Amino acid sequence: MSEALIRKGDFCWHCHTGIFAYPMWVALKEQVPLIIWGEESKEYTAYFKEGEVEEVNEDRFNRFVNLGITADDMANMIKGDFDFDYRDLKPFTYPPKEELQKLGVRSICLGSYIPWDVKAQVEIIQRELGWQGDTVEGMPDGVWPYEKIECSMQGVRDYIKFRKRGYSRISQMCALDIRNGRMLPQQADLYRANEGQRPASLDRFLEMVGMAEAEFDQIIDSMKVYPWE
Amino acid sequence: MVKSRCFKNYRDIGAPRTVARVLNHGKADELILLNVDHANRTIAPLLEVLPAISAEIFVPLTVGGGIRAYDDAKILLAAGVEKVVINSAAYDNILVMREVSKKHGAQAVCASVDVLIDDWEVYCVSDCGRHEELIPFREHLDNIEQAGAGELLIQFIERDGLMQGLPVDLVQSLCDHTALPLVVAGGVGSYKHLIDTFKGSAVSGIGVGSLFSFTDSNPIRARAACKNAGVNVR
Repeated sequence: MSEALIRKGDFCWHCHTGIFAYPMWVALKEQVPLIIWGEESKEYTAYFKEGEVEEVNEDRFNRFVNLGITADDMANMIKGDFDFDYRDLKPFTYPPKEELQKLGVRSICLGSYIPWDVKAQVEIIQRELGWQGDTVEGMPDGVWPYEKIECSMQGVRDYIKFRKRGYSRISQMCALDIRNGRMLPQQADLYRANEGQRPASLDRFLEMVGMAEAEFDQIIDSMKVYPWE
Repeated sequence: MVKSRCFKNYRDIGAPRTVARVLNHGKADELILLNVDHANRTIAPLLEVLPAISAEIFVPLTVGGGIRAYDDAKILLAAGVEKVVINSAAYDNILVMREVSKKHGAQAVCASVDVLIDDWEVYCVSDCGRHEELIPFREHLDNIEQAGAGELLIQFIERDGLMQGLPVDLVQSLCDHTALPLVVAGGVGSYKHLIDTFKGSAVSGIGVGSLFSFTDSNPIRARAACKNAGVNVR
């Protein structure tokens, strides 16, 4: 976490890579040739062109998921920092292209084939499966109780995002709702007034990575993304 | 593979094969790979890593560092690189550059000049930033042009890896001086530096290292930022 934070201003390298690499290893082990993911990344980013069908493959993995650091390289970067076995990093490596080709894997997004509307889909799983949302640190209670509820460090991630880019998940979610005709800009302004607050979980995070807050601040401030000053 | 600060303080950025693969998938326009091993000023280190890199990428590959004779360039071009970078040999024996250009075409020759700046005076430095050359900078540029280089790569040693920006006015004065397509490197730390340099000069390309290795940026984001600012990029 600290290596990724220092190099990239993003401590979630293990999460980004693990999410997209490990299922591919499982697919190989269990000989599953079809993997279906949720939305396309272009719901939120511009790494793929409109109309381009997005395959969740190694190209996409290296294009933006792994922050430009492969697991092999990460292993060398953290070598000597603590005891680990190279095998520990296997879930974060992308499986060999040849093995995936041999299995004939297709790894596609459901969002390539149906219109993606998170709010509408959440209503379905709540109604039909009894799915429950949760509160996310830094987000207004009950407004988007389905986004990033799996991550206890979301508050820190969002704080970093705000300091690097000048906006946080609140702005991102407001923008989506405004675009979908579910929110007025005036309502968004009320939520956005609370963006960028220091999260309580930052203390826990700094303790975990063994870093002083001054060092954390210095790293994040050096990673500001233009046009945010 | 390493990234330096002021041509010193090398920091590991990964294995050549994996870094090249990531930049290939990241849609880099071109990959410039330089041998900066002070202890080995031959092309041997390049030949060691080239097969693995060539097998991975479709991005045009420009390599150099250690080319002393025509045969060095010939071997590298035969190994599949698009352009060879000639730097120190251009001071010692510019006929090397002339021969490569004559036999393989100017498009295969990238003349590289590493420079130190003192106010507006620019000094040529060879041998990985270790040896200051006596020839006046602009005279050296003229020699390179006459020797048949197809492209000029200027690296600003004192700005390398510091991510504080490029000397835009100087870059434009170099564009005015030479007819060669100019690529500059050394100092890019934000998209603003790219935008300011593209808008403030007629430069053909900008080399980026630290921005992609030591922030969460990548070529796709950089290109999008330039496009959004009205810079005409691919």
